[in-house]
Amino acid sequence: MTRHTLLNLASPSRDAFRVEGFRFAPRQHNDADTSVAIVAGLNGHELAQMHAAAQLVNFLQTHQAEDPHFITGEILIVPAVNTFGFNMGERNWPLDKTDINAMFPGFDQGETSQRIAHHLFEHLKGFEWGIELEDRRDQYDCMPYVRMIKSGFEDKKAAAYFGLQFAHYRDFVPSDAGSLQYNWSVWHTKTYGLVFGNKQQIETHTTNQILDSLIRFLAKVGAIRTKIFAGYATNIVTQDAITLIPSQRAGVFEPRQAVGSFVKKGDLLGKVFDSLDGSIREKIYAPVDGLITCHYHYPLIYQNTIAYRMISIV
Amino acid sequence: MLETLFTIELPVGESYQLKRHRFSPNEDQPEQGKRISIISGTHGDELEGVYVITMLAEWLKSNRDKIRGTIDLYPSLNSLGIDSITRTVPFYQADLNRIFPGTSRDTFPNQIAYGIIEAIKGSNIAIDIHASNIFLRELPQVRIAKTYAEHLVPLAKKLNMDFIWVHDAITVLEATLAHTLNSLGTHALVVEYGVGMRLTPGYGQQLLTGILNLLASEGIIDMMPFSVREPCYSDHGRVYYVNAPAAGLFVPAMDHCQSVKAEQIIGHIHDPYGVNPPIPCLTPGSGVLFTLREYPIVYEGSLIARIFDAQTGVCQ
Ligand SMILES: [Zn+2]
Repeated sequence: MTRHTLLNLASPSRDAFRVEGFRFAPRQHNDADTSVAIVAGLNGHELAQMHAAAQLVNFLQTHQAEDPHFITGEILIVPAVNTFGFNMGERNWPLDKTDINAMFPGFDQGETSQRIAHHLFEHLKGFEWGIELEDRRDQYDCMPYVRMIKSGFEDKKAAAYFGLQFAHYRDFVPSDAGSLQYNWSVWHTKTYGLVFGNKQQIETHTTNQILDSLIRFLAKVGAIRTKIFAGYATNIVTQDAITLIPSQRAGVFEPRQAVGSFVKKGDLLGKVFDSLDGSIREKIYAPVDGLITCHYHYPLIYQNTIAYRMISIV
Repeated sequence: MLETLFTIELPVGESYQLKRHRFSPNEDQPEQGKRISIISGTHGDELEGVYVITMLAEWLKSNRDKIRGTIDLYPSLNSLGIDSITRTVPFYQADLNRIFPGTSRDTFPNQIAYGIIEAIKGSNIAIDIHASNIFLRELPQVRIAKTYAEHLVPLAKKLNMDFIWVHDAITVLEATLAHTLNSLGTHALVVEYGVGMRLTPGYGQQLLTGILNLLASEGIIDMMPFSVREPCYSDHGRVYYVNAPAAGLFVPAMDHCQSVKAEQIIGHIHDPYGVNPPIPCLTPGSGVLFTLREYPIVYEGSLIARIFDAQTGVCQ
């Protein structure tokens, strides 16, 4: 393993902004069977993502030390990009509040976060596989899943290598234009988003699950040589299999079903209480049979907000 | 007539309300003549447009007999943000101007965006007034995506602004209010000037004259058009960007909106610890300095200035 400072930017007053990358390669570089880049922490709330990536660095380093033939591909891992955000509890680039993950492919003559994206992307281009570890930007607790964006360069078969329960395969939307995942695909890297975790929290169970998924993926694409459990046979889910269940009313939200539960049509999913007089304003029921993939997880809910997301077999 | 167009229940004893102040020849009839929507407050830290709308409302109340069309005023789309110096939609931290057209059943910001489009669509013309953010001070300007330039530039020229900036289409800007309205057949213009969190009353007066001129030219008010300034037009020149070469404290040496020559000093970037000497920032070309940094702290790359080179253009 070698550690590289991929980016170094001076600050007006505080310490310099640095992005660190960890490279793994076979003993003979030209023996590499494939190449994989894994990036986490493009925003400073992605604690679980940073931690999972760092655990992977540690796992690979330990195994490489024990077995010189363990690494069979080129691997680059970047556990944290927006380190300033992490150190301040902020999601975005702290000065101008721009989202680094909306600035790709970047621009070396542009604004600070465009320059950060540019210099980082120079290191990330050209990999065969690219994996972005991400949280959800909204207030949802979700089962870990793989996200694929239709770009003409996606590989649906390999989405199952992670062994997660489902992969969400969706159309491009304008807000994808500046994301790392989308720009990787424009530069012909086969790319996945791995979406998991609650905002600003780390759960050991999920970290281990994601670590397991990443190891499985690396083994299946031939970047490492190891034995691993098979995982789930991943369902590829498109928009028509997804049911969104809104709360009709605002108030205090009490979820009654956990993510990952299978429910039947008519089952109680949650309740909304009047925040002030405590009466029940609404009971939310499952409109279909299926698997609960996400629920709203903040105690206060706005009117018409999606309370649950479900997938069904169609 | 002040109307509440839709409400969204908030969790604790309040609701979001989209309000509009409508002026028309006869308030009993729903819509008459050409319809124009004047909009501000998509970004909660931008107040310049709110001020123009209050002045326009005062003018219209004193000149009701001249109204021939429908004039809709929406001063405060992101009302929770406007009332609390919050640029984005609070709680969600969503930039309201990046999620249009929105959806009726999703997050709070998406529902606001959806309701706004439902309210405004069908207008013949819309003017979406932005101040700059807190970082930059801007000369009065109209911004137009090339795709819609043919229809929008003639309208923009009536607005008494200093500068019309026709820029290339950018994918992320497809989710703006103006782009969405243009795609639905409303001629939507984006006006931008001043600085975030502050008022520049002189610019407000300038735009008020422009809006009244546009209303007169379109027959929405019964008046002779005003004489307005001839704006610079960026299709006939180029825009230079000046980004900070280093981190530090930027101190300007120039006034906003002055004519500059190449290699003039815009300002210096100072090392807060005083170890390194101040670094000068120079103009890359001649023209009009239409954007100047207002907020002093910079990193490498922070925008310092924009200059419109009118050498081949139509600026006087
Ligand atoms: Zn704005």
